Amino acid sequence: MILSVMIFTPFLAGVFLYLFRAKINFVKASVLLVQVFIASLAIDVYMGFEPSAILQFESNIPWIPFYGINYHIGLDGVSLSLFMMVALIMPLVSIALYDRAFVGLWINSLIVQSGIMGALLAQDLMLFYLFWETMLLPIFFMIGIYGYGKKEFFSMKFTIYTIFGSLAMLISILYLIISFKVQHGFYTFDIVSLKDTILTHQEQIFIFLGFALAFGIKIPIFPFHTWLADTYKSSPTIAIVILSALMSKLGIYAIYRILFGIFASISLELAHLVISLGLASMLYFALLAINSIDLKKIFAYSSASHLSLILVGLFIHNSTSLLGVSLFIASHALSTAAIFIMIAILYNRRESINLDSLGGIVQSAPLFSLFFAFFALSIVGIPFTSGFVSEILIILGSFEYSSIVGFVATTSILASIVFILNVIKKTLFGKKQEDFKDLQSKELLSLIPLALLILALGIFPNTFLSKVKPTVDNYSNSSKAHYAK
Amino acid sequence: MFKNYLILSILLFSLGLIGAVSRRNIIIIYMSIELMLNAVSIMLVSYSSFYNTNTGVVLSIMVTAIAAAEAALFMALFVTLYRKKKSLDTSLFNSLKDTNATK
Amino acid sequence: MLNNIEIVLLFILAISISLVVFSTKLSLQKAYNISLITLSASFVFLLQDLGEIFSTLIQKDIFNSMLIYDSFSLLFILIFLLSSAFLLLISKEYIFDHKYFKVESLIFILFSVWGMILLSMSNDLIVAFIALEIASMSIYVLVGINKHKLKSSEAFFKYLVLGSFMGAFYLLGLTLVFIQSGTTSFIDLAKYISTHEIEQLYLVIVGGLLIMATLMFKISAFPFYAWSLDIYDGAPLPITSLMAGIFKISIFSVILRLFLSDYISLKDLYDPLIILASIFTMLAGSFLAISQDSIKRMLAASSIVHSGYLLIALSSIATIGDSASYSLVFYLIAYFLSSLGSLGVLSMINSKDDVTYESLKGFASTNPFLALMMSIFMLSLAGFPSSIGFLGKFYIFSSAIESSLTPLAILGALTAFISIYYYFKVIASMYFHKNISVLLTYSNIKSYIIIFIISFLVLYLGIGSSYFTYLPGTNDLTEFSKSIINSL
Repeated sequence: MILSVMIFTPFLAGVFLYLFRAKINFVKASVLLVQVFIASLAIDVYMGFEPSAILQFESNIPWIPFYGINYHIGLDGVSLSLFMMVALIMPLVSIALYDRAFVGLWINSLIVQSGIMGALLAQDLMLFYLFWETMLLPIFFMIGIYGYGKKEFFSMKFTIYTIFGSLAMLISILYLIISFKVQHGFYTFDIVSLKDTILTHQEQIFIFLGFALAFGIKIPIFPFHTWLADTYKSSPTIAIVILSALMSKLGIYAIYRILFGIFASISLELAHLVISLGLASMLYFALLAINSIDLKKIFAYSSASHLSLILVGLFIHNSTSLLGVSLFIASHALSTAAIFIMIAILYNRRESINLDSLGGIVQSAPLFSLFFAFFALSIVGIPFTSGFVSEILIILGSFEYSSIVGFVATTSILASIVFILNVIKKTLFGKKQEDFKDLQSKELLSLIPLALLILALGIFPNTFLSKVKPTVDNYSNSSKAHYAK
Repeated sequence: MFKNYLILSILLFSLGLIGAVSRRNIIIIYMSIELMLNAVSIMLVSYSSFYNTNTGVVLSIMVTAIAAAEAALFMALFVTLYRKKKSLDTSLFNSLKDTNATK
Repeated sequence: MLNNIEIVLLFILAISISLVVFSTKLSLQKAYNISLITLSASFVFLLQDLGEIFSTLIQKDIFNSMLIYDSFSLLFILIFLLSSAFLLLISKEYIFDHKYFKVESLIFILFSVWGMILLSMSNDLIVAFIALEIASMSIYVLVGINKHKLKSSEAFFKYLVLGSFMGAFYLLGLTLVFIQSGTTSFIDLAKYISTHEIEQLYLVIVGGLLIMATLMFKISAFPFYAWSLDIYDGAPLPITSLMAGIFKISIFSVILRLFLSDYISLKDLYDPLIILASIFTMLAGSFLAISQDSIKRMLAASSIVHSGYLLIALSSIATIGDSASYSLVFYLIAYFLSSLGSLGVLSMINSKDDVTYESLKGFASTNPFLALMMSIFMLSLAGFPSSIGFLGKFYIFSSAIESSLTPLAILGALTAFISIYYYFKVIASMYFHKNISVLLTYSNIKSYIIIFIISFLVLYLGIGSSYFTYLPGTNDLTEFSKSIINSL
């Protein structure tokens, strides 16, 4: 019940605010209020979360019983990290960007929060698909109405690109449930029951590819990344933070939940292909990031590069790397959200995010520089940040899997540290230019919690890891069984 | 014998078909369509008389009724179109072509 | 004793005829009110027949088994009555604003609805044809009602010539079926087909093909789709809505009845044709829709695509009552709601020229309500989740996969993907531009309420759960579509 409240409160509040044409100040205040309310509920849920592999806070209500479609939601170790991040990051983003004066932007951010939350908690494929698609609509409006440059075009491009993947997924879902129905005589969309579908090897590969296309576009992995740079460049900051920090992780989560939940054996069979693709796109995105001079693009590509690392960790699928993945989802969400907020602040004051025209900030704005450097470094994972622990876990896992994979992953992480240091240098240091206003208390109000969360997850990772350990063990046992066979 | 009538009506139907497709004058197109309907009527009536049933005749009366209704509409059409262009040549009526498509 | 449907049929007929008699004395306003009351009263009156599955022959002594009244036809009759009443309500301002709408236009609308009711009840080839002609002929006239506009007269000309031309094929097909089987009744024909081998059925098969050609023409399927764009474009908007939204559904009702009760055992012969028709209908419609500039033409072209989806369902039907047959019914309901709504919104825009993507720019800032409603209908037509259009597509594609027609389902998904482009373009032009739209809208509160009701239905039947037992939701609608198929 509490989870349903968390899913639908933002949506209903958004619709209410839209219909009553509320004034901007009222809208901002109520959006923030709703998001803080959700965050407090999330903390309550987190406290009550039992460290075990079973589904918790479950509710299961028939929706279209004729087709075996249920409103089935629940929380387990797979979704826990992203769940907390959605609930915690959204209010912090709202605080940081509180000066944005567009009603539609705020309402859409509420609705997209509902969509992400719903997709995250859905245990029924149909419900998942519903939320997966509907969360696209607010982003479509956010970019198209409040974006920059050729926003109409890029908003359409992003939407059409993503829906292409979704329709591939839809066909896969339908094929899967029809096969299940033919074998068992009834329809079901329940992720757990669908595991029992017997499919030929070829069918499995096609269905796997259908799902993988949808998730791969959303993350994105090479070669489905062509929407990434344009979309980020033309999006308003709230949309960028949601896209990079939350929605891209949802792609990872969906692979974890659906591909490993339903097609565990075929996923492990294709694992080496995905891992090579992941490593390649990790390096490719890193190169793209190095070659860009636009800060938004740089961090878009570097975050895509790290997402590929998460993907690699996911497909390595032993217990160490899966722990790393769970933690990395959280820490990367925090870091990217923070860094894009920093970039928005930078853009507000300098009217430019071009690397060549920046510099000389550290003299007039020490606090800003401190936070910028900290968040940039937390992305690549310096010690004491959560990124560090999770990267170490994934690298350990990859050495367990194969030393070549471990070696490539380590090298690219090291390379990205060098490159991020370069970005920090160019952005902050150098000859003093005109005065740069330092961080305000309102901005600090959102940045300090983000920094504290990153540090807390980095210094005491065990409080979180112990909650997801049973789930991870459950998943990694299946892969052990697969490799033993 | 029934076969001959069948062939006759199929021939008439085809004639009507060709006329309706190839002619440009709307009155002739209309006459061709009527020819097609009448071909069907001949088929029905000859079937009735050779196989001693009344159903075919009844059906042919219905076909005639429909043809009459169509005739009324066609008369209205002739008048409307003639008022527009002072001619009944179909090639003059092409304003519905895809003019505002983006290409 | 007369049963309910007979009363309704006689009632509408009597009203129409008395309107004809008094047409010179009545003002348009009075005639409008009378026809509206007639349609909605009949709708409410027939609601009491909902519930149990039933099937009765109408006046067996007079009509033999020519007319049948069952749950299947009841659903369609209710759709016709409801949607034509909605149509009149939505386009009230349009009708009164355009001087070419006269009392006669309303009479023709009543007659066409009457013909469609008869069509969905017909149980005999000749009755089906007469009903089809009653509905079509009224619509021919309605298309050309604006006799001062060249486009309208041309659409009238094209539709009349093509329609009667294709009608001749129906009659030829009917005659061939009759010559071989000696009957035109659906019931006797079904008996005849099931007791004979395929080798003895040549004329029945060829006749069925000719009949199919005419029906394909009426639903604007490939290869007979080229007319529909021009004619939908030339007709006044409420009439386009009548043709694309309501008339098409009535054709599908007779196709379903004919196909399910008679030709189902010859399905293997017709299947390749239907599949080909559905593939090319979807592709051709998509290409036409992409290249249009005017919203009305785009909607007309996209209605061709929707016929393609419906043909997918038709080709997936294996037996009566399998998932394909009721997915078709469900999709028809979904389609009628969304197309009625979208064309309804268009008919509330008071504009001399065609509404194009360009002129829609900034519409959301001048009329946020209509823009929101339009977006909902666009999403439903595009098959976006949380709308009834999505569930319709979902059922159709899953039934296609169930009949191992997976490539067809994939093609359907691809055309749905293409349709995302042209439907979302409408939303994009309404919302993504700051400039003030020049479009004026009629502000009739009743029309707004009806538009709102339709959009609510589109959303509620898309996500509504049976959790709220007092409001029938999606699940009940699905079960209902299944049960009415079983009444055939």
